[in-house]
Amino acid sequence: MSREQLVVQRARRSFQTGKSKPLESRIHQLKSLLCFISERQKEIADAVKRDLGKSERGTELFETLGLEGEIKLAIEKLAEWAAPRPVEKNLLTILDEVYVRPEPLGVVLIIGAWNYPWAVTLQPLVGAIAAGNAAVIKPSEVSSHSAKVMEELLPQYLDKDLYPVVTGGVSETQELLKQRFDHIFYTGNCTVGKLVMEAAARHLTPVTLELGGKSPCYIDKNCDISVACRRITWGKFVNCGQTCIAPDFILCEPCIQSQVVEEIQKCIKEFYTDNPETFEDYGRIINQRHFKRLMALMEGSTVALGGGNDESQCYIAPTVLKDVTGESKVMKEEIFGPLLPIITVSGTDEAIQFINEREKPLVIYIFSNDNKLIKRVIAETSSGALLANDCLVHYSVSALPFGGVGNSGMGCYHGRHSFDQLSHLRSCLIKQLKMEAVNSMRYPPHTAKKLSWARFLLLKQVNVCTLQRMALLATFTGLAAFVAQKYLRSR
Amino acid sequence: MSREQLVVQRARRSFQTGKSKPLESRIHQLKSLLCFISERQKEIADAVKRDLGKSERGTELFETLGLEGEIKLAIEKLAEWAAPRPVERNLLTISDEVYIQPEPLGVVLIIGAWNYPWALTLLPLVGAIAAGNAAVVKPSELSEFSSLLLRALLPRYLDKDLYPVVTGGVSETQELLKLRFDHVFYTGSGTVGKVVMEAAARHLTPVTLELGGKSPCYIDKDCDIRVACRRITWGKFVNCGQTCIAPDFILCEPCIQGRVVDRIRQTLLEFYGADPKCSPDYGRIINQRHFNRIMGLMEGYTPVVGGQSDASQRYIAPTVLKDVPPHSRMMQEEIFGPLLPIVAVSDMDDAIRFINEREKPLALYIFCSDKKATKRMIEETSSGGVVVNDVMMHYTLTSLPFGGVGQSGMGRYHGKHSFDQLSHQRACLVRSLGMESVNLARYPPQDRRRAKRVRMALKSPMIDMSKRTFIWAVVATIIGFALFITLLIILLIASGLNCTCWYWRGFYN
Repeated sequence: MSREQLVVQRARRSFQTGKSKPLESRIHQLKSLLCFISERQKEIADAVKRDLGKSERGTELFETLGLEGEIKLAIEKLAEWAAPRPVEKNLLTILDEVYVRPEPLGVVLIIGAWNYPWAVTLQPLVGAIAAGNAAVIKPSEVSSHSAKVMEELLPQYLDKDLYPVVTGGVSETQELLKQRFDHIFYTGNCTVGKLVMEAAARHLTPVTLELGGKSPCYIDKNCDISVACRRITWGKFVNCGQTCIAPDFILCEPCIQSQVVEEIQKCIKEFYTDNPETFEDYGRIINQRHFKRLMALMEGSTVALGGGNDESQCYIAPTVLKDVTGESKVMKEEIFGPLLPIITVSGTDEAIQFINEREKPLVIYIFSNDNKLIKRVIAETSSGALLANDCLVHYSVSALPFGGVGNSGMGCYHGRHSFDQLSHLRSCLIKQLKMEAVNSMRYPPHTAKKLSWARFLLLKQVNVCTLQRMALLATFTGLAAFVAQKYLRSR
Repeated sequence: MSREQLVVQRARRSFQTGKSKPLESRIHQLKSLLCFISERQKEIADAVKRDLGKSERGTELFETLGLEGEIKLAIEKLAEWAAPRPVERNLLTISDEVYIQPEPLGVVLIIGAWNYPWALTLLPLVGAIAAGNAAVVKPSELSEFSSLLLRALLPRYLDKDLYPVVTGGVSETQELLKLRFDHVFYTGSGTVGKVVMEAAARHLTPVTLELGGKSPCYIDKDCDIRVACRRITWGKFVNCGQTCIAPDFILCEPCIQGRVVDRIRQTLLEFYGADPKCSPDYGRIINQRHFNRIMGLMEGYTPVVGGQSDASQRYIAPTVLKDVPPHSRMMQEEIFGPLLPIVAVSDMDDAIRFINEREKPLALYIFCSDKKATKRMIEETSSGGVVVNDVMMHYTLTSLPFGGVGQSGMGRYHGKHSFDQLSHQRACLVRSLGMESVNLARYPPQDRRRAKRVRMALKSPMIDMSKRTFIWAVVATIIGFALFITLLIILLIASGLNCTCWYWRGFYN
């Protein structure tokens, strides 16, 4: 038996003992996870620095802060999320208990990504633990230092049978994918996403795929361009452009193109100083392969600013490209790097057309003061999410479902959505063995009279709340009338 | 280009014109669908009679009634379902518009099943239309009269480009599955379910799979066995056992086995008469292959009730078998026929163990009067749905999500769940370009002070700014205020305040 098979088998046996189900133990594990993040802040930040060149504060801001928030939210709300959820009844079930019961699925496989190796690997884990599952965690081997730290340290905080960490490369992942899971949560690219779903299909395992795409960013010529560019610059060059929801490219009218370039230049200088290479808050490309890939993407486009690079450090300066068309190399794939192409369009119509000709992205960004325009873009396009007048921040609103559509993914998570995604919402109908006479309308021999009864009881829409309110109102009116007539009689 | 490719391309082009999106057109199509079902009641019942031997009333009760209800619900609630759904905000987004906008996915493929050829093919269509999608409808070729009728008549009621019907067998279905859809909704067996999901994976298409399994039915020895057996008998032999949520087998203690068999026998007499073959309400097996399959399952076992069959009519009598061993063929696959095996278990714990050793079923039925024991059984098992003291009725309540888990399926539908399943729930956050100073903390260069500010802003509790909470807050304040005033007045009266203009003066006289 392979190592992966053993790990999954042990996780399943642990799950079957039932120890991951009680709310107290889920909360206990979540609290331990929280301890892990706060106590090992330094080791985590070190690992991320060696993987991606990110500063310690950058790691805190973009990786662990969001994670902490999610864990605390899960701990606070777990009892509410895991409680049975009553639903609306009809006349037939008016005396019965009807509710939806969230239950654990079993053993979840979480395949993490390398760009935010902690946030993107551990956030699904929060949902898995909260929902009462066991989980096999497979961090990305590309962010090797983070994967190693996770493998060493996580078992010191979490139950190592229920939540094992499995490191390795392509072959280990393939071996894992041959095993049977109750849900697979994958973050990464489309190509591997298809393989993951195909492997899951063999066991009829449901999947959540958080993929990517080219997230367009449309700047309306009548908006405050300097503020828009600040937010875009921030969103684009965080983590050196290696963010699934980074604004991939800009669409704007030719008349504002040079202004946009100027503003971005100002912001880059303000954020990363004149020499981003030496500045600690500017990161690096993850590895040589991606560095070469990005350098090749620049071919055929004009560098409007930046362009500097250093292969030995995997450093690429914040770069803006102009004279880019839909056919340019840089528009053929998700950039996932610090190259920001600007494509000129004649107006909103052409921008919408440009977006709709391509695959549905993970997010669409639109910068405009005109509410009508924003509503129009929402109505005429489709994407995982839509964010107007800012970048990335929808990620931090845990009430919003975070996920893609079409090629950008399926399923969603964050906050309660993580819990729901990794639970089975089981319908429960609890009846009594009494009132059997009512059931005669459904038993053969079928007659027209029985059928009309069935029609009445099944099709009549009844709002139980309204009925209760009316009953209450009737009681009050009756009481008030009684009191009033008593008083009048005494007068 | 194959026929299927042309149909899908036309559906996609129609969708792209945007004509399926406006609420009015969705409601119009739903109303047309409702007309179809009411006007063509007779043709539909005829087709079902020829496919499955079901009576006209049976078709109305089990196929079209539920469909009507769903369409009417969708028409009534569509505006509410399709409206933007505001969500809780945090301090950072307190002045922004934050909501989830349900949107159509695009072109949905609906692959129907043969056991309830109208309900199972058209119910997902209701969801698809309500959500604003185009849909390619592929009814099952096994229920051939129904599928031919659907193909002939549906285009007369619905937009034939947006909602085309494609008939055919395995090769036509495979051809369809090569094409790209935005969602595939499949009802049928696990084997084909895997093939459907694998095909969908090539295009990264999300799927809803309504599969099956062996739904266990546990009868506790201390419950009212007469009523339990009536309900089980009804559920099992409806449509001749060819229901995905039919109780597949019974688990009970050996001491009540005899009584259970007797009660079932009595109930069968009441429902279908002495000879079910002559009863208009008792159906037939869909085709020869399934007839042979079901007869094969019984091989080597002597039934205690029924067992008669007639291959020329594809008739199998309602059959009960007792003391069936767990390893028998009958217990290895979903029966999907009128054979009801009774497997003996020593107690509820044994039953729970039996259920957990097997794949998660589509439904679990528990007949027990002890609330605690029932609760324990629910907690220690898993299934798509669970009904206590009845069978199948969770299907009729549209507020309950209907679907499986594990091998019994993924995804769910019925009522609003159909709408949600076939929509994309798009997260929308609309901010303003003002208040840029608030954002300063997140920009580099990062320092301690900025990091602290961001930490604070992100950690704030979520604030529910929805209208409902606002109204509740206002009403609660008014009521609280009113109560306070009332308390004050009572205290004043109690303290003996004698006011000449007092209204209650009559009291003192």
